[in-house]
Amino acid sequence: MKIFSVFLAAALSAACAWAAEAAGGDDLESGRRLGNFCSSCHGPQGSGPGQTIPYIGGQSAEYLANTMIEMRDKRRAATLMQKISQGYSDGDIEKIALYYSKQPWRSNNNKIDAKLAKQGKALSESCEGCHGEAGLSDGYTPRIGGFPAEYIYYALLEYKNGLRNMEEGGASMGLVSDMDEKEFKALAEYYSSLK
Amino acid sequence: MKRISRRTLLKSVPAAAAVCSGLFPAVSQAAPAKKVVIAGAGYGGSTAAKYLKLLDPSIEVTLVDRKDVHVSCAMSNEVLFGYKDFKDINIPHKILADRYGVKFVKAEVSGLDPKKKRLITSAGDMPYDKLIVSPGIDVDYDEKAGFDAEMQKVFPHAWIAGDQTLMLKSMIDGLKKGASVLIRTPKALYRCPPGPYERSSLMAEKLKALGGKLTVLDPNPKIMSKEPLFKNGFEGIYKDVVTYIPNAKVLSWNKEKKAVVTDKGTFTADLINFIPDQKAGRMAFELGLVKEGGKWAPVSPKTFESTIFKDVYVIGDAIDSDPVTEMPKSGVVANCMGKTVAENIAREFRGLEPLPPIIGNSCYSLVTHTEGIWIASVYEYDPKVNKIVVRNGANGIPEKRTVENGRNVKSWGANMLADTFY
Repeated sequence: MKIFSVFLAAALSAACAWAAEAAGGDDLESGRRLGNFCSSCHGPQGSGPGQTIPYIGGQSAEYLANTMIEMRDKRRAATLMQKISQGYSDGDIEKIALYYSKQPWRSNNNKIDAKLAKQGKALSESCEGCHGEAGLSDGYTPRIGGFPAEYIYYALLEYKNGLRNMEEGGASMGLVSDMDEKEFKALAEYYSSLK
Repeated sequence: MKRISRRTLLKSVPAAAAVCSGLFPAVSQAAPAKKVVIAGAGYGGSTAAKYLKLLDPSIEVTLVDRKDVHVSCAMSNEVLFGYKDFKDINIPHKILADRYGVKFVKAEVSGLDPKKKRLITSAGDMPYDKLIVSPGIDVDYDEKAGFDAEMQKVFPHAWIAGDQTLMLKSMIDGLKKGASVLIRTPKALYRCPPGPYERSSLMAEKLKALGGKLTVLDPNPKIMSKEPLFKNGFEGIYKDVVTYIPNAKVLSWNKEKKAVVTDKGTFTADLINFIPDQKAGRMAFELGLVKEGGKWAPVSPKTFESTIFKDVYVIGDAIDSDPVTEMPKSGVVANCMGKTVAENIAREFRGLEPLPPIIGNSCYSLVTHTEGIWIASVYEYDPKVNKIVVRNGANGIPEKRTVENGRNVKSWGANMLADTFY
């Protein structure tokens, strides 16, 4: 139940976020409506207490849209998202991505293992080039700071195993191919601590 | 190679307003607030209440339920076998009520005056502009076969979560070495198509460790959801434990002898989990939302409005699905229906036309306590057939069960509860 208190506080600010859509135009309202289904798995306003389902609320719109298209086109490993993404056109996806990008970002509420995070920080120098010091997004590159460590860990494994659109977006993640699971655990803890 | 540029996305958004007023601009204070009453605070009702307030905080939303707390059927199978605490599937309605300004009333719903637009309850009459009814299911006792209302106190079905879950759990906890179990699955249509097979799989896993046996009596011609995946379990890792018998019609049953007589033979077991056939929740019948001789409440596939009374909507498991949709009776579908109805009511109150639904279903199941499977679909209303159908072929199950899916079972459950009840 403690995990939910973060969402308790943020829900009220989310209500205000909805107001922004009123003046945000048709695309935002369409995105909200088309994206109604998404929150049942990704959590209210696109983030929830689940540790292994990625936050989409407050994520880069460009990254969200590209990812959904990659999954739909089978260029990125996806479990049920590969089926779900079939249901939406490019236009739908852009609008849904836009809507969720406007939702508040809510970082994980997990206790951080400070020692492990420190080890991760020491490994993160080469990550900074794209992910920045705080793990924020530049548009194309997603925000990773504040994700649950478990999610980041399995994402890193997918990159190492060549499962995430290695022709384009995954290509720059080639730098993790020589890293091992222990290093991934540390990196994941570090980036999850960037709340 | 498809890639969306930032510029394409940004140019469609004009400057956003700073006013916190919901989806629509504020109404003049002189107009009386619109009232929505929601009967039933499960997945459908709670989602509708929350999303109505998010869309338009000026709407007065009253949420009525006979209990203070919802016990989630989804994930209750995990509780039965000790993989989740019972307290983690208990959600007090107060949380949603306090957070979103919904008025929660604990009361028994007993009737409806559709002309005066009042819901009749033990806490008084509740006037409404719109009424949403989300009653869930009720068991359809087969008194001829000998399964009556009293039986569920001795042979808990646990297909409505709560006390039934705890009763069945203690029986499962008491299973000894070499124990025999019988699970009778319900005849379609029923709540949660994969549920009985998930329960059977987790039961088989437990019995495998005890050197016991499980008989699954199924009135349906085959496994009703995620078939190849559950079948793979029954015929693979559980082949020495499970006997699966389809097309089994229950003729009678003997409470004292703990025997179920079917057209495929007579079966006894140390533990019998008899899951009865189902129908709409009692409230749907009491409010006159089910046609004479029917089992489920007929609704419009465009709006989920009752075909019997105007301004009354029925959502969730209780709807008459067959004529209007292939969507299963699931928590996520109820959640999506709640959002659809909330949206359309908010629109109608502002003089806008309702919009037909574009929604979906995602449903995870466990085959072992660590390995999971799923089904996922996107649905939309199709005017050509006047039904809610799969959108653009978006529908499917995985090739096999995995530990990755097993992890996502937990994340999905937690997020689904957060989206619906918190």
